[in-house]
Amino acid sequence: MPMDTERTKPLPGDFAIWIFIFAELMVFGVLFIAYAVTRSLHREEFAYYQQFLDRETGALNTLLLITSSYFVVKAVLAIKQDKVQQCVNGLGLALLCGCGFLVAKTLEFSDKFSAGIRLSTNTFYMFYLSLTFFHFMHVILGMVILAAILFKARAGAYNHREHTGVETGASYWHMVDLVWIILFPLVYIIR
Amino acid sequence: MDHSVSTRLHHSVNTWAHQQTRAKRIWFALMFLTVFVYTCGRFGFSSQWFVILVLASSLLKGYWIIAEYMGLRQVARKWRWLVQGWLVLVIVLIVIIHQL
Repeated sequence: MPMDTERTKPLPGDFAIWIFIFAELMVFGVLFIAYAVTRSLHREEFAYYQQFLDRETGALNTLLLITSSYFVVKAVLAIKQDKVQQCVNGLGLALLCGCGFLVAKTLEFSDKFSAGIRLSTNTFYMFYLSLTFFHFMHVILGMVILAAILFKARAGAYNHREHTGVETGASYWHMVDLVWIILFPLVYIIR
Repeated sequence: MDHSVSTRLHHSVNTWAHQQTRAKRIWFALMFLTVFVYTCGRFGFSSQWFVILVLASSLLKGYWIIAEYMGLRQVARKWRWLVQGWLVLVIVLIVIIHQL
């Protein structure tokens, strides 16, 4: 159990990223509620089209994001101990998992697009494509941030005293993971 | 090496090892819950209780990510509650809407 003094630490990373994270969480929250409300109004339609979603890819993507988050945690812990190479390795592995997510998601999108599915196909696909593509864009942004941190870490920009950049990128990446933790069961599992 | 410096270094290495172990345990738990929920879904469960179970597992996973991976367990309560409050609010609303 941490001491009370430890519970008054400032937010990890740059405060500005937390404003961004809170704003993003609000937007995703509204989209999730909108999906749930619309689903309750069109239960049969949603249940029918959900059958055609690839749950395996959704589960694989969840495992990939969770694992990438774990590697990011390892990278943050490593830089706090001045273990620069371990930090770089952690970020590299997280990016690799992120690439796996993008490949799996691109294949899933391409499968849907080749079947003629578009935003205008029906209400379910409008939500499915909007939510997953919006999240997909966040994964790309998160990977750009992680890559920038990786290069800076390799150049020796971070150490046990100054690692705000690593914590900032890590916080954003965990937010991307957190959102997917709700999106996956909501869209792929609950029928 | 000065005794106090040596003690601090020892404590720091111990804390680091403890945090590494903790992160790994949480990773295992997150992976297990994901596979469990996916498997239940694969067997075609779709009752109201299953929905609650799935969303409860998301709540637990989200709590771990916020507290342990984001590191908010150690920050001032107002920040932790803001993010955890978002998680609880969204999941509770989804459950309520689903039951309607």
